[in-house]
Amino acid sequence: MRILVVEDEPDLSRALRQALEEEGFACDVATDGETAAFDLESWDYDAVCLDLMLPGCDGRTLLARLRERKPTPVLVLTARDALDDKVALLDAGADDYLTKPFELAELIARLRALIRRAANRPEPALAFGEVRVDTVARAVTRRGRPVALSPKEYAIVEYLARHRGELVTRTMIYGHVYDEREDTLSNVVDVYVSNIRRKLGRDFVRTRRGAGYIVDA
Amino acid sequence: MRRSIRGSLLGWYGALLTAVLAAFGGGLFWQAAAAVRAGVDAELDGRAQAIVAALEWDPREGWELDLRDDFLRGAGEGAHFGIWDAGGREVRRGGAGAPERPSGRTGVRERGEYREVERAGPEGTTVLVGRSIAPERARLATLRARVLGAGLGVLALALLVGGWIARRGLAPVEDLAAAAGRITERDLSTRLDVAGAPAELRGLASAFNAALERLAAAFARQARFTADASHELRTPVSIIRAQAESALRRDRTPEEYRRTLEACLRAAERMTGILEGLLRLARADAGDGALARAPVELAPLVEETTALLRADAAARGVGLRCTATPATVHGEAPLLSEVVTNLVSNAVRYNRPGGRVDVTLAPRNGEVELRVADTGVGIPADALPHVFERFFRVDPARSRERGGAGLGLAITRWIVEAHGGSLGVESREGEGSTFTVRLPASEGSRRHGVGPVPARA
Repeated sequence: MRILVVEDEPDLSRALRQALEEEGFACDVATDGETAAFDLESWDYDAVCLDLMLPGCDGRTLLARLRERKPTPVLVLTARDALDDKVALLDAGADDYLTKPFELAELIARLRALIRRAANRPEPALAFGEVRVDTVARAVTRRGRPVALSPKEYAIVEYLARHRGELVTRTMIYGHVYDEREDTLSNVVDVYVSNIRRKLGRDFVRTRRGAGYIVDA
Repeated sequence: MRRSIRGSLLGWYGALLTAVLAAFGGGLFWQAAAAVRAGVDAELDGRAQAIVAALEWDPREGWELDLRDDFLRGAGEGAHFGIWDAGGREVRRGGAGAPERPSGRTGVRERGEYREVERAGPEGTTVLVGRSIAPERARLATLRARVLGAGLGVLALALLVGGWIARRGLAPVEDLAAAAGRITERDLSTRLDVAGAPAELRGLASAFNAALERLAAAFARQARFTADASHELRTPVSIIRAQAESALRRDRTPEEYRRTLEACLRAAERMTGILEGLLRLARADAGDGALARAPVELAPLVEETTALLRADAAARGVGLRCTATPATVHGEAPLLSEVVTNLVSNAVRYNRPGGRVDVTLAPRNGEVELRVADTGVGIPADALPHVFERFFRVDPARSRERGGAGLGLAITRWIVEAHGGSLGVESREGEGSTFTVRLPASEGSRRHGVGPVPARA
């Protein structure tokens, strides 16, 4: 799952990125409104964590511009906790908000919930025959036994699981599992997928030749 | 004792009415008594004249009185008469209660329950006629009781009606007070209906509304200040939290811990700056800012303070010039130095590489004028009226990276105004800003400080 953090305080964005990456998210950071607008235009993020006070472009304007184009879920970080502000934020298209100071664990849990809801899969655990994907514990079991996956393998499994029954292209996987800083080779995804097949069974992921992958068709 | 308007209105009204009723009733009674007495006197006088006319001296028979028999009966019970000759010997006497001898003075008098008339008769005789006036007195007593009763009745009725009128008259006051009470205990946003109030209370109502206005404004300022303060503190607190929580998620290398602690320290320093500014302003608001004033030579103070900022200016590629003419003000040197620091460091920070800051100190029209002009980013016209407000920043996020919490100019204004001076600003966006401080000059500077002294770069 790929997340854009729009935050101009370097000390805050660094901590957010570290925690999110350790939770298995791919994470990009934009420190001003223009960069954020460019990133949002270029990629399909699974969620956006937006600080309202930004140089160059007001967070609200950014939110409005995003809402004209994409349904990406947005969690707003705000320093104001007046009710009116919160109501205005939600009405302006934010999906959720957190008031500063916040707990990292809560931020991460809310982002996960937003992503689940956006994929129309509000249940935190997904089952595919003998395979079960728990998106909260970020653990996969097969026949009730835990399966050891690398963070990237898990990320790909979760992404595929969230799009069960849909064709997922390699480009989509690159766009949602890697962040801007990661240099990727085109066959890396194929390597991960063959590892996943080895661990979770042939039938878990099917390949549509020349198009991509599909889970639970 | 608590005074009530209704009580004192009623008191005055009652006192006035009592006086009027007493004068009226007393007058009436006095008139009636006088009329009764006049009637009795006329009757007695007529009888006395009749006796005088009927009295004759016969040398053989002595005194003869030719009166009808029923003379005395006509005078009613208790009537009497007496006649005495020149020698004081009794000639005739009749009826109940006639005195033994005349008083010797003609005219009307009262003796006990009797009213008597004494007249001079023929040949030095004295004629006295009198009668009891007990019935008249009884009638007058009845009259007095009735007048008194009626008066008290009227007074009681009038006080009742007066009380009702006073209550009715004061009802709008009570309504107004109740409305005011409702406003103060619920919220300060509603106002009294001035147009609907009686003319006499409109002034009161609008004064109350004006006071509410000021109160609400003060509350709003306070609330905004608190909100702003907490808002400013939230970001550094969230940095500390996020950094610490993120670091504690797993074991880190010493280098990672060091980075985390450095970030926390930066946030703590930012909070310290904000808190110091807030405390300063809170003290200023509490009126606890009595200045320790002394004559201050401004020129060296401005030059030294500016010199401290030279390194920072050079690092940012900003040229800093200072031209100070000797001038003396009456004030607190550390605070005045803070004014210079705030204004000059703003001018340096909100500048561009290759820009200039000109600091000029000169006497002008009996005042001392300090101008800090920069060639920096300038302030948009719509933001200009707000630059001295607490926590106001032209671009909230951008000035954060320049290290301001938005309190410097508010503190500067407080210091200048506490010195009896004024602080103004002119600015053009993209071209620069000029801040002007005017302070009252003290005696020393008026004596010496006229005409510029060669500038020092």
